Amino acid sequence: MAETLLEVSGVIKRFGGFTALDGVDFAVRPGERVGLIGPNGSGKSTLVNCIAGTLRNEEGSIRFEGRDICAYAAHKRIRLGLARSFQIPKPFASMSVLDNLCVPLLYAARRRGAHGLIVDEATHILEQVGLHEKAGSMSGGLTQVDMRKLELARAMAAKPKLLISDEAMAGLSASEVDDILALLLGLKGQGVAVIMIEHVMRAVMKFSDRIAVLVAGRKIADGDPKTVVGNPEVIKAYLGE
Amino acid sequence: MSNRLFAAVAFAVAVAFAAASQLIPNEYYFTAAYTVLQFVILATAWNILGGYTGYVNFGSAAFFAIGAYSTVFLYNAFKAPLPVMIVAGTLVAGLAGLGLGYLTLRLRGVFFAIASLALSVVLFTFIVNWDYVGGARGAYVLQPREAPFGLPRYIHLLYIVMVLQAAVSLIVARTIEKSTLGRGLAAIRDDELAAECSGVPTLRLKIFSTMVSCALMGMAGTTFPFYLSFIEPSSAFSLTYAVNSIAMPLIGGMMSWIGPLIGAILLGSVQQLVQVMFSLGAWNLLIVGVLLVLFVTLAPNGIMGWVDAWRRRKGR
Repeated sequence: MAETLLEVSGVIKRFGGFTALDGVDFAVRPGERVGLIGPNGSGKSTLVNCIAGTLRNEEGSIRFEGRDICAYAAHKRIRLGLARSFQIPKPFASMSVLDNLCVPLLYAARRRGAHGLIVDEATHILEQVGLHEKAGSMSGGLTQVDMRKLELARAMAAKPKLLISDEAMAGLSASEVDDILALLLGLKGQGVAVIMIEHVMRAVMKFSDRIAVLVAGRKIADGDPKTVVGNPEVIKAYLGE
Repeated sequence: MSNRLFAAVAFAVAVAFAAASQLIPNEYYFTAAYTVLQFVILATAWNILGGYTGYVNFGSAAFFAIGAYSTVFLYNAFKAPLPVMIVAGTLVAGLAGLGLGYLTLRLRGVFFAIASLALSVVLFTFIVNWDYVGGARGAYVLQPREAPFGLPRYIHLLYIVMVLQAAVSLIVARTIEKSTLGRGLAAIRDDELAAECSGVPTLRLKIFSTMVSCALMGMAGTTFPFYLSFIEPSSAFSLTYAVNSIAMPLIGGMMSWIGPLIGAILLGSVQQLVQVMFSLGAWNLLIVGVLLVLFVTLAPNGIMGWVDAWRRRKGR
Protein backbone atom coordinates (compact mmCIF):
# COMPACT_ATOMS: atom_id res chain seq x y z
CA MET A 1 0.00 0.00 0.00
CA ALA A 2 1.24 3.45 -0.94
CA GLU A 3 1.85 6.06 1.75
CA THR A 4 -1.16 8.02 2.90
CA LEU A 5 -1.68 11.59 1.68
CA LEU A 6 -4.32 12.61 4.20
CA GLU A 7 -4.79 10.92 7.52
CA VAL A 8 -7.65 11.94 9.78
CA SER A 9 -7.73 10.14 13.10
CA GLY A 10 -10.09 10.39 16.03
CA VAL A 11 -11.44 13.77 14.98
CA ILE A 12 -14.10 15.20 17.26
CA LYS A 13 -16.00 18.41 16.54
CA ARG A 14 -18.71 19.73 18.80
CA PHE A 15 -21.09 22.65 18.33
CA GLY A 16 -22.16 23.46 21.87
CA GLY A 17 -23.74 20.27 23.18
CA PHE A 18 -24.07 18.71 19.74
CA THR A 19 -21.32 16.38 18.60
CA ALA A 20 -21.09 16.74 14.83
CA LEU A 21 -18.06 14.49 14.41
CA ASP A 22 -17.55 11.77 16.94
CA GLY A 23 -14.12 10.25 16.52
CA VAL A 24 -13.81 10.01 12.75
CA ASP A 25 -10.90 8.10 11.19
CA PHE A 26 -10.39 8.59 7.49
CA ALA A 27 -7.47 8.29 5.12
CA VAL A 28 -6.75 9.09 1.49
CA ARG A 29 -3.81 7.84 -0.58
CA PRO A 30 -2.15 9.93 -3.29
CA GLY A 31 -4.20 9.97 -6.48
CA GLU A 32 -7.08 8.08 -4.90
CA ARG A 33 -10.74 8.87 -5.63
CA VAL A 34 -12.86 8.56 -2.54
CA GLY A 35 -16.60 9.07 -2.32
CA LEU A 36 -17.90 10.39 0.98
CA ILE A 37 -21.61 9.85 1.47
CA GLY A 38 -24.12 10.02 4.27
CA PRO A 39 -27.60 11.37 5.00
CA ASN A 40 -28.13 15.11 5.48
CA GLY A 41 -26.68 16.32 8.76
CA SER A 42 -24.34 13.37 9.11
CA GLY A 43 -21.25 15.59 9.36
CA LYS A 44 -19.81 15.41 5.83
CA SER A 45 -19.47 19.14 5.42
CA THR A 46 -18.18 19.53 8.96
CA LEU A 47 -15.49 16.98 8.19
CA VAL A 48 -14.56 18.89 5.04
CA ASN A 49 -14.41 22.12 7.00
CA CYS A 50 -12.14 20.53 9.60
CA ILE A 51 -9.84 19.13 6.93
CA ALA A 52 -9.72 22.39 4.95
CA GLY A 53 -9.23 24.49 8.09
CA THR A 54 -12.41 26.56 8.00
CA LEU A 55 -13.37 24.86 11.27
CA ARG A 56 -11.05 23.62 13.99
CA ASN A 57 -11.52 20.13 15.38
CA GLU A 58 -11.48 19.88 19.16
CA GLU A 59 -9.75 16.53 19.35
CA GLY A 60 -7.92 14.12 17.10
CA SER A 61 -5.29 14.79 14.50
CA ILE A 62 -5.27 15.65 10.83
CA ARG A 63 -2.09 14.85 8.94
CA PHE A 64 -1.30 15.87 5.40
CA GLU A 65 1.78 14.23 3.87
CA GLY A 66 2.72 13.17 7.38
CA ARG A 67 2.58 16.69 8.76
CA ASP A 68 0.11 17.58 11.52
CA ILE A 69 -1.90 20.49 10.10
CA CYS A 70 -4.45 20.98 12.89
CA ALA A 71 -2.91 24.30 13.90
CA TYR A 72 -2.70 25.60 10.32
CA ALA A 73 -5.03 28.33 9.06
CA ALA A 74 -6.99 27.49 5.93
CA HIS A 75 -4.75 29.54 3.63
CA LYS A 76 -1.71 27.56 4.81
CA ARG A 77 -3.43 24.26 4.13
CA ILE A 78 -4.27 25.14 0.54
CA ARG A 79 -0.68 26.25 0.04
CA LEU A 80 0.38 22.76 1.07
CA GLY A 81 -1.89 21.40 -1.65
CA LEU A 82 -5.19 20.76 0.07
CA ALA A 83 -7.94 22.52 -1.88
CA ARG A 84 -11.70 22.49 -1.57
CA SER A 85 -14.74 23.68 -3.45
CA PHE A 86 -17.80 25.06 -1.72
CA GLN A 87 -21.23 23.49 -1.69
CA ILE A 88 -22.83 26.86 -2.39
CA PRO A 89 -20.60 28.50 -5.01
CA LYS A 90 -18.64 31.46 -3.69
CA PRO A 91 -17.28 33.24 -6.74
CA PHE A 92 -15.34 36.49 -6.42
CA ALA A 93 -18.27 38.31 -7.96
CA SER A 94 -16.54 41.57 -8.86
CA MET A 95 -13.91 39.74 -10.91
CA SER A 96 -14.00 38.11 -14.30
CA VAL A 97 -13.95 34.32 -14.53
CA LEU A 98 -10.27 34.44 -15.46
CA ASP A 99 -9.36 36.72 -12.55
CA ASN A 100 -11.12 34.34 -10.17
CA LEU A 101 -8.52 31.70 -11.02
CA CYS A 102 -5.65 34.15 -10.68
CA VAL A 103 -6.25 34.44 -6.94
CA PRO A 104 -5.35 30.84 -6.03
CA LEU A 105 -2.72 30.77 -8.77
CA LEU A 106 -0.97 33.76 -7.22
CA TYR A 107 -1.57 32.98 -3.59
CA ALA A 108 -1.41 29.19 -3.43
CA ALA A 109 0.21 27.63 -6.51
CA ARG A 110 3.01 30.20 -6.77
CA ARG A 111 4.02 29.52 -3.20
CA ARG A 112 4.93 26.00 -4.13
CA GLY A 113 7.17 27.12 -6.93
CA ALA A 114 4.81 26.92 -9.89
CA HIS A 115 6.03 29.08 -12.75
CA GLY A 116 4.85 30.44 -16.04
CA LEU A 117 2.43 33.18 -16.96
CA ILE A 118 -0.52 33.34 -14.60
CA VAL A 119 -2.95 34.19 -17.38
CA ASP A 120 -1.79 31.26 -19.52
CA GLU A 121 -2.23 28.88 -16.63
CA ALA A 122 -5.67 30.25 -15.80
CA THR A 123 -6.70 29.95 -19.45
CA HIS A 124 -5.43 26.39 -19.55
CA ILE A 125 -7.54 25.42 -16.55
CA LEU A 126 -10.59 27.16 -17.99
CA GLU A 127 -10.13 25.11 -21.17
CA GLN A 128 -10.06 21.96 -19.07
CA VAL A 129 -13.39 22.77 -17.44
CA GLY A 130 -14.92 24.23 -20.59
CA LEU A 131 -15.27 27.80 -19.38
CA HIS A 132 -12.66 29.38 -21.64
CA GLU A 133 -15.26 31.12 -23.78
CA LYS A 134 -16.51 32.91 -20.69
CA ALA A 135 -13.06 33.92 -19.40
CA GLY A 136 -13.89 37.61 -19.67
CA SER A 137 -17.43 37.45 -18.26
CA MET A 138 -18.14 38.63 -14.75
CA SER A 139 -18.34 35.60 -12.49
CA GLY A 140 -21.41 36.89 -10.65
CA GLY A 141 -23.55 36.49 -13.77
CA LEU A 142 -22.77 32.84 -14.54
CA THR A 143 -25.40 30.08 -14.69
CA GLN A 144 -25.53 27.56 -11.83
CA VAL A 145 -23.65 24.85 -13.70
CA ASP A 146 -20.96 27.28 -14.84
CA MET A 147 -20.61 28.54 -11.30
CA ARG A 148 -20.03 24.95 -10.10
CA LYS A 149 -17.41 24.54 -12.79
CA LEU A 150 -15.77 27.78 -11.76
CA GLU A 151 -15.79 26.61 -8.16
CA LEU A 152 -13.90 23.46 -9.18
CA ALA A 153 -11.63 25.35 -11.55
CA ARG A 154 -10.64 27.71 -8.77
CA ALA A 155 -9.80 24.78 -6.51
CA MET A 156 -7.79 23.20 -9.36
CA ALA A 157 -5.92 26.47 -9.90
CA ALA A 158 -4.27 26.01 -6.51
CA LYS A 159 -2.53 22.97 -8.10
CA PRO A 160 -3.66 20.74 -5.25
CA LYS A 161 -2.56 17.23 -4.36
CA LEU A 162 -5.94 16.63 -2.79
CA LEU A 163 -9.16 18.25 -3.95
CA ILE A 164 -12.32 18.06 -1.90
CA SER A 165 -15.45 18.54 -3.96
CA ASP A 166 -18.37 19.40 -1.70
CA GLU A 167 -21.64 18.50 -3.47
CA ALA A 168 -20.62 20.00 -6.78
CA MET A 169 -23.53 18.29 -8.52
CA ALA A 170 -26.45 18.98 -6.18
CA GLY A 171 -29.46 20.26 -8.10
CA LEU A 172 -27.93 19.85 -11.55
CA SER A 173 -29.56 18.06 -14.48
CA ALA A 174 -28.34 14.62 -15.62
CA SER A 175 -26.26 15.99 -18.48
CA GLU A 176 -24.76 18.68 -16.25
CA VAL A 177 -23.85 15.99 -13.71
CA ASP A 178 -22.03 14.14 -16.50
CA ASP A 179 -20.11 17.33 -17.35
CA ILE A 180 -18.87 17.79 -13.80
CA LEU A 181 -18.15 14.08 -13.42
CA ALA A 182 -16.02 14.06 -16.56
CA LEU A 183 -14.16 17.04 -15.19
CA LEU A 184 -13.41 15.34 -11.88
CA LEU A 185 -12.46 12.07 -13.59
CA GLY A 186 -10.00 14.05 -15.72
CA LEU A 187 -8.06 14.98 -12.57
CA LYS A 188 -6.98 11.35 -12.21
CA GLY A 189 -4.56 11.83 -15.08
CA GLN A 190 -2.90 14.64 -13.16
CA GLY A 191 -2.41 12.48 -10.08
CA VAL A 192 -4.73 14.59 -7.94
CA ALA A 193 -6.52 12.73 -5.17
CA VAL A 194 -10.20 13.65 -4.88
CA ILE A 195 -12.70 13.36 -2.08
CA MET A 196 -16.14 13.62 -3.59
CA ILE A 197 -19.04 14.42 -1.33
CA GLU A 198 -22.21 13.74 -3.19
CA HIS A 199 -25.81 12.66 -2.98
CA VAL A 200 -26.01 11.75 -6.66
CA MET A 201 -25.31 8.03 -6.21
CA ARG A 202 -24.91 7.35 -9.91
CA ALA A 203 -21.99 9.78 -9.97
CA VAL A 204 -20.45 8.52 -6.74
CA MET A 205 -20.55 4.90 -7.90
CA LYS A 206 -19.02 5.76 -11.25
CA PHE A 207 -16.35 7.95 -9.77
CA SER A 208 -15.07 6.33 -6.61
CA ASP A 209 -12.31 3.79 -6.01
CA ARG A 210 -13.60 3.62 -2.47
CA ILE A 211 -16.62 4.90 -0.55
CA ALA A 212 -16.82 6.00 3.06
CA VAL A 213 -20.16 6.49 4.81
CA LEU A 214 -20.78 8.94 7.63
CA VAL A 215 -23.87 8.67 9.79
CA ALA A 216 -24.48 10.96 12.78
CA GLY A 217 -20.82 11.92 13.03
CA ARG A 218 -19.46 8.39 12.87
CA LYS A 219 -17.99 6.47 10.00
CA ILE A 220 -20.02 3.29 9.63
CA ALA A 221 -18.50 1.88 6.46
CA ASP A 222 -15.41 2.36 4.32
CA GLY A 223 -14.34 0.23 1.38
CA ASP A 224 -15.11 -1.03 -2.09
CA PRO A 225 -18.14 0.85 -3.52
CA LYS A 226 -20.21 -2.24 -4.31
CA THR A 227 -19.63 -3.82 -0.90
CA VAL A 228 -20.40 -0.56 0.91
CA VAL A 229 -23.74 0.10 -0.78
CA GLY A 230 -24.73 -3.50 -0.08
CA ASN A 231 -23.88 -3.11 3.60
CA PRO A 232 -27.08 -3.55 5.67
CA GLU A 233 -26.10 -0.76 8.09
CA VAL A 234 -25.70 1.71 5.23
CA ILE A 235 -29.05 0.72 3.74
CA LYS A 236 -30.62 1.15 7.16
CA ALA A 237 -29.15 4.62 7.57
CA TYR A 238 -30.55 5.76 4.25
CA LEU A 239 -33.86 3.94 4.10
CA GLY A 240 -34.69 3.10 7.69
CA GLU A 241 -35.73 -0.39 8.77
CA MET B 1 0.88 51.92 -17.06
CA SER B 2 3.59 50.54 -14.81
CA ASN B 3 3.72 51.62 -11.18
CA ARG B 4 6.94 53.55 -11.61
CA LEU B 5 5.67 55.40 -14.64
CA PHE B 6 2.46 56.27 -12.84
CA ALA B 7 4.39 57.50 -9.81
CA ALA B 8 6.58 59.67 -12.04
CA VAL B 9 3.60 61.07 -13.91
CA ALA B 10 1.65 61.69 -10.71
CA PHE B 11 4.56 63.56 -9.16
CA ALA B 12 5.17 65.55 -12.32
CA VAL B 13 1.51 66.53 -12.51
CA ALA B 14 1.50 67.42 -8.81
CA VAL B 15 4.60 69.62 -9.10
CA ALA B 16 3.35 71.30 -12.28
CA PHE B 17 -0.05 71.83 -10.70
CA ALA B 18 1.41 73.26 -7.52
CA ALA B 19 3.75 75.56 -9.49
CA ALA B 20 1.09 76.76 -11.92
CA SER B 21 -1.33 77.58 -9.16
CA GLN B 22 1.22 79.95 -7.60
CA LEU B 23 0.20 82.33 -10.40
CA ILE B 24 -3.33 82.48 -9.02
CA PRO B 25 -3.64 85.88 -7.38
CA ASN B 26 -6.60 84.94 -5.21
CA GLU B 27 -5.48 83.95 -1.69
CA TYR B 28 -8.77 82.24 -1.09
CA TYR B 29 -7.99 79.64 -3.74
CA PHE B 30 -5.26 78.16 -1.53
CA THR B 31 -7.46 77.98 1.54
CA ALA B 32 -10.25 76.28 -0.39
CA ALA B 33 -7.95 73.97 -2.34
CA TYR B 34 -6.27 72.88 0.90
CA THR B 35 -9.62 71.58 2.17
CA VAL B 36 -10.46 69.82 -1.09
CA LEU B 37 -7.02 68.17 -1.19
CA GLN B 38 -7.44 67.08 2.42
CA PHE B 39 -10.55 65.22 1.32
CA VAL B 40 -8.78 63.74 -1.70
CA ILE B 41 -6.27 62.15 0.72
CA LEU B 42 -8.91 61.05 3.22
CA ALA B 43 -11.18 59.56 0.55
CA THR B 44 -8.29 57.77 -1.17
CA ALA B 45 -7.07 56.42 2.16
CA TRP B 46 -10.53 55.32 3.26
CA ASN B 47 -11.03 53.52 -0.04
CA ILE B 48 -7.99 51.28 0.48
CA LEU B 49 -9.80 49.60 3.34
CA GLY B 50 -13.42 50.41 2.50
CA GLY B 51 -13.43 50.03 -1.26
CA TYR B 52 -10.66 47.52 -1.97
CA THR B 53 -11.08 45.33 1.11
CA GLY B 54 -14.75 45.90 1.95
CA TYR B 55 -14.33 46.99 5.57
CA VAL B 56 -16.19 50.17 6.47
CA ASN B 57 -14.22 52.50 8.71
CA PHE B 58 -16.37 55.04 10.58
CA GLY B 59 -13.35 56.34 12.46
CA SER B 60 -11.62 58.38 9.76
CA ALA B 61 -11.84 61.48 11.94
CA ALA B 62 -9.94 59.69 14.71
CA PHE B 63 -6.98 58.90 12.48
CA PHE B 64 -7.06 62.37 10.98
CA ALA B 65 -7.02 63.75 14.53
CA ILE B 66 -4.12 61.48 15.50
CA GLY B 67 -2.12 63.11 12.72
CA ALA B 68 -3.19 66.58 13.78
CA TYR B 69 -2.53 66.05 17.47
CA SER B 70 0.83 64.42 16.97
CA THR B 71 1.77 67.69 15.26
CA VAL B 72 0.45 69.66 18.24
CA PHE B 73 2.50 67.47 20.57
CA LEU B 74 5.69 67.87 18.56
CA TYR B 75 5.06 71.60 18.24
CA ASN B 76 4.67 71.99 21.99
CA ALA B 77 7.54 69.66 22.83
CA PHE B 78 10.27 70.52 20.31
CA LYS B 79 8.94 73.00 17.77
CA ALA B 80 9.91 70.19 15.40
CA PRO B 81 10.30 70.98 11.70
CA LEU B 82 7.30 70.30 9.46
CA PRO B 83 8.71 67.24 7.62
CA VAL B 84 9.35 65.52 10.98
CA MET B 85 5.77 66.25 12.02
CA ILE B 86 4.39 64.83 8.80
CA VAL B 87 6.38 61.61 9.10
CA ALA B 88 5.63 61.24 12.81
CA GLY B 89 1.89 61.79 12.43
CA THR B 90 1.74 59.29 9.58
CA LEU B 91 3.60 56.67 11.61
CA VAL B 92 1.54 57.14 14.76
CA ALA B 93 -1.74 56.90 12.85
CA GLY B 94 -0.42 53.81 11.04
CA LEU B 95 0.45 52.21 14.38
CA ALA B 96 -3.01 53.04 15.73
CA GLY B 97 -4.48 51.43 12.61
CA LEU B 98 -2.31 48.37 13.14
CA GLY B 99 -3.58 48.11 16.72
CA LEU B 100 -7.21 48.57 15.70
CA GLY B 101 -6.80 46.00 12.94
CA TYR B 102 -5.10 43.49 15.19
CA LEU B 103 -7.79 43.79 17.85
CA THR B 104 -10.88 43.87 15.68
CA LEU B 105 -10.25 42.31 12.28
CA ARG B 106 -10.70 38.76 13.53
CA LEU B 107 -14.34 39.79 13.57
CA ARG B 108 -16.06 40.22 10.27
CA GLY B 109 -18.01 43.01 8.64
CA VAL B 110 -20.09 45.24 10.84
CA PHE B 111 -18.13 44.59 14.04
CA PHE B 112 -15.15 46.37 12.60
CA ALA B 113 -17.31 49.37 11.69
CA ILE B 114 -18.60 49.59 15.26
CA ALA B 115 -15.11 49.21 16.72
CA SER B 116 -13.75 51.99 14.49
CA LEU B 117 -16.52 54.29 15.69
CA ALA B 118 -15.80 53.35 19.29
CA LEU B 119 -12.10 54.11 18.82
CA SER B 120 -13.05 57.57 17.62
CA VAL B 121 -15.04 58.24 20.80
CA VAL B 122 -12.30 56.87 23.05
CA LEU B 123 -9.61 58.99 21.39
CA PHE B 124 -11.81 62.08 21.52
CA THR B 125 -12.27 61.64 25.26
CA PHE B 126 -8.55 61.05 25.67
CA ILE B 127 -7.59 64.23 23.82
CA VAL B 128 -10.22 66.32 25.62
CA ASN B 129 -8.63 65.30 28.89
CA TRP B 130 -5.01 65.65 27.85
CA ASP B 131 -3.97 69.10 28.93
CA TYR B 132 -0.55 69.10 27.28
CA VAL B 133 -2.12 69.25 23.79
CA GLY B 134 -4.73 71.77 24.84
CA GLY B 135 -7.45 69.52 26.17
CA ALA B 136 -10.99 70.75 25.59
CA ARG B 137 -9.77 74.39 25.36
CA GLY B 138 -7.77 73.70 22.23
CA ALA B 139 -4.23 74.74 21.36
CA TYR B 140 -2.58 77.41 19.25
CA VAL B 141 -0.14 76.21 16.64
CA LEU B 142 1.18 79.36 15.01
CA GLN B 143 2.34 79.48 11.44
CA PRO B 144 5.95 80.67 11.12
CA ARG B 145 6.01 84.36 10.18
CA GLU B 146 8.23 83.75 7.16
CA ALA B 147 7.24 81.22 4.52
CA PRO B 148 10.25 79.26 3.18
CA PHE B 149 11.40 78.97 -0.47
CA GLY B 150 10.39 82.58 -1.14
CA LEU B 151 6.71 81.73 -1.04
CA PRO B 152 4.50 84.73 -0.34
CA ARG B 153 2.58 83.17 2.53
CA TYR B 154 2.68 80.04 4.67
CA ILE B 155 -0.62 78.76 3.27
CA HIS B 156 1.14 78.41 -0.09
CA LEU B 157 3.56 75.98 1.51
CA LEU B 158 0.75 74.05 3.20
CA TYR B 159 -1.02 73.90 -0.12
CA ILE B 160 2.06 72.49 -1.89
CA VAL B 161 2.52 69.93 0.88
CA MET B 162 -1.11 68.91 0.44
CA VAL B 163 -0.72 68.53 -3.33
CA LEU B 164 2.30 66.27 -2.80
CA GLN B 165 0.57 64.27 -0.07
CA ALA B 166 -2.40 63.74 -2.38
CA ALA B 167 -0.02 62.50 -5.07
CA VAL B 168 1.61 60.10 -2.59
CA SER B 169 -1.80 58.79 -1.50
CA LEU B 170 -2.91 58.19 -5.07
CA ILE B 171 0.35 56.43 -5.92
CA VAL B 172 0.07 54.19 -2.86
CA ALA B 173 -3.58 53.40 -3.60
CA ARG B 174 -2.97 52.61 -7.25
CA THR B 175 0.12 50.51 -6.53
CA ILE B 176 -1.88 48.42 -4.05
CA GLU B 177 -4.81 48.14 -6.43
CA LYS B 178 -2.70 46.80 -9.32
CA SER B 179 -0.59 44.43 -7.24
CA THR B 180 -1.04 40.85 -6.08
CA LEU B 181 -1.96 42.40 -2.76
CA GLY B 182 -4.81 44.31 -4.41
CA ARG B 183 -6.14 41.11 -5.94
CA GLY B 184 -6.08 39.47 -2.53
CA LEU B 185 -7.92 42.41 -1.00
CA ALA B 186 -10.56 42.27 -3.74
CA ALA B 187 -10.99 38.55 -3.04
CA ILE B 188 -11.53 39.36 0.65
CA ARG B 189 -14.13 41.97 -0.28
CA ASP B 190 -16.01 39.56 -2.54
CA ASP B 191 -15.93 36.54 -0.23
CA GLU B 192 -13.62 36.31 2.71
CA LEU B 193 -14.00 32.57 3.30
CA ALA B 194 -13.41 31.73 -0.34
CA ALA B 195 -10.38 34.05 -0.30
CA GLU B 196 -8.90 32.28 2.72
CA CYS B 197 -9.52 28.93 1.03
CA SER B 198 -7.78 30.19 -2.11
CA GLY B 199 -4.60 30.77 -0.15
CA VAL B 200 -5.06 34.46 0.69
CA PRO B 201 -3.76 35.18 4.21
CA THR B 202 -6.85 37.22 4.97
CA LEU B 203 -6.04 38.42 8.47
CA ARG B 204 -2.57 39.65 7.55
CA LEU B 205 -3.82 41.44 4.43
CA LYS B 206 -6.67 43.10 6.30
CA ILE B 207 -4.35 44.34 9.02
CA PHE B 208 -1.92 45.65 6.43
CA SER B 209 -4.55 47.52 4.47
CA THR B 210 -5.97 49.00 7.68
CA MET B 211 -2.51 50.18 8.64
CA VAL B 212 -1.81 51.82 5.28
CA SER B 213 -5.26 53.38 5.12
CA CYS B 214 -5.01 54.83 8.63
CA ALA B 215 -1.45 56.05 8.11
CA LEU B 216 -2.55 58.08 5.08
CA MET B 217 -5.49 59.52 7.03
CA GLY B 218 -3.06 60.56 9.74
CA MET B 219 -0.81 62.14 7.13
CA ALA B 220 -3.74 64.25 5.93
CA GLY B 221 -4.10 65.66 9.44
CA THR B 222 -0.48 66.55 10.13
CA THR B 223 -0.58 70.07 8.65
CA PHE B 224 -4.10 70.80 9.83
CA PRO B 225 -3.13 72.64 13.07
CA PHE B 226 -0.98 75.05 11.04
CA TYR B 227 -3.77 75.54 8.57
CA LEU B 228 -6.18 76.72 11.25
CA SER B 229 -3.50 78.08 13.64
CA PHE B 230 -5.80 76.84 16.36
CA ILE B 231 -7.05 73.34 16.97
CA GLU B 232 -9.62 71.91 19.33
CA PRO B 233 -10.95 68.36 19.65
CA SER B 234 -14.36 69.03 18.13
CA SER B 235 -12.84 70.41 14.91
CA ALA B 236 -10.22 67.67 14.61
CA PHE B 237 -12.74 64.90 15.32
CA SER B 238 -15.45 66.54 13.25
CA LEU B 239 -18.20 64.34 11.87
CA THR B 240 -17.49 65.98 8.51
CA TYR B 241 -14.31 63.92 8.09
CA ALA B 242 -15.92 60.59 8.88
CA VAL B 243 -18.93 61.27 6.66
CA ASN B 244 -17.03 62.79 3.74
CA SER B 245 -14.37 60.11 3.60
CA ILE B 246 -17.14 57.53 3.18
CA ALA B 247 -19.38 59.60 0.91
CA MET B 248 -16.69 60.69 -1.54
CA PRO B 249 -15.53 57.19 -2.58
CA LEU B 250 -19.17 56.06 -2.70
CA ILE B 251 -20.04 58.88 -5.06
CA GLY B 252 -16.90 58.64 -7.15
CA GLY B 253 -16.72 54.86 -7.29
CA MET B 254 -14.94 52.45 -4.95
CA MET B 255 -13.40 49.95 -7.34
CA SER B 256 -10.40 52.01 -8.42
CA TRP B 257 -8.12 54.79 -7.22
CA ILE B 258 -9.71 57.34 -9.54
CA GLY B 259 -13.18 57.12 -7.96
CA PRO B 260 -12.31 58.70 -4.60
CA LEU B 261 -10.31 61.38 -6.42
CA ILE B 262 -13.30 62.37 -8.54
CA GLY B 263 -15.70 62.13 -5.62
CA ALA B 264 -13.51 64.27 -3.39
CA ILE B 265 -12.90 66.97 -5.98
CA LEU B 266 -16.57 67.09 -6.88
CA LEU B 267 -18.07 66.98 -3.42
CA GLY B 268 -15.28 69.01 -1.83
CA SER B 269 -15.68 71.79 -4.40
CA VAL B 270 -19.46 71.83 -4.09
CA GLN B 271 -19.09 72.16 -0.33
CA GLN B 272 -16.65 75.05 -0.68
CA LEU B 273 -18.94 76.74 -3.17
CA VAL B 274 -21.99 76.41 -0.95
CA GLN B 275 -20.04 77.65 2.03
CA VAL B 276 -18.61 80.73 0.34
CA MET B 277 -21.02 81.74 -2.40
CA PHE B 278 -24.17 81.18 -0.41
CA SER B 279 -22.80 81.22 3.17
CA LEU B 280 -24.60 77.99 3.82
CA GLY B 281 -21.78 76.00 5.43
CA ALA B 282 -24.21 74.41 7.85
CA TRP B 283 -25.93 72.79 4.90
CA ASN B 284 -22.86 70.83 3.84
CA LEU B 285 -23.71 67.59 5.60
CA LEU B 286 -27.26 67.84 4.28
CA ILE B 287 -25.91 68.16 0.75
CA VAL B 288 -23.68 65.13 1.29
CA GLY B 289 -26.67 63.20 2.59
CA VAL B 290 -28.89 64.08 -0.37
CA LEU B 291 -26.14 63.25 -2.88
CA LEU B 292 -25.51 59.94 -1.13
CA VAL B 293 -29.16 58.95 -1.35
CA LEU B 294 -29.25 59.96 -5.01
CA PHE B 295 -26.14 57.99 -5.87
CA VAL B 296 -27.01 54.90 -3.88
CA THR B 297 -30.35 54.69 -5.69
CA LEU B 298 -29.34 55.87 -9.17
CA ALA B 299 -25.67 54.91 -9.55
CA PRO B 300 -24.76 52.44 -6.79
CA ASN B 301 -21.26 51.97 -8.22
CA GLY B 302 -20.58 55.68 -8.27
CA ILE B 303 -19.54 57.87 -11.15
CA MET B 304 -16.82 55.47 -12.28
CA GLY B 305 -19.26 52.55 -12.19
CA TRP B 306 -21.56 54.57 -14.39
CA VAL B 307 -18.72 55.45 -16.76
CA ASP B 308 -17.64 51.79 -16.97
CA ALA B 309 -21.18 50.66 -17.78
CA TRP B 310 -21.42 53.34 -20.48
CA ARG B 311 -18.09 52.25 -21.95
CA ARG B 312 -19.21 48.61 -22.04
CA ARG B 313 -22.41 49.57 -23.83
CA LYS B 314 -20.48 51.64 -26.35
CA GLY B 315 -17.95 48.86 -26.89
CA ARG B 316 -20.65 46.39 -27.85
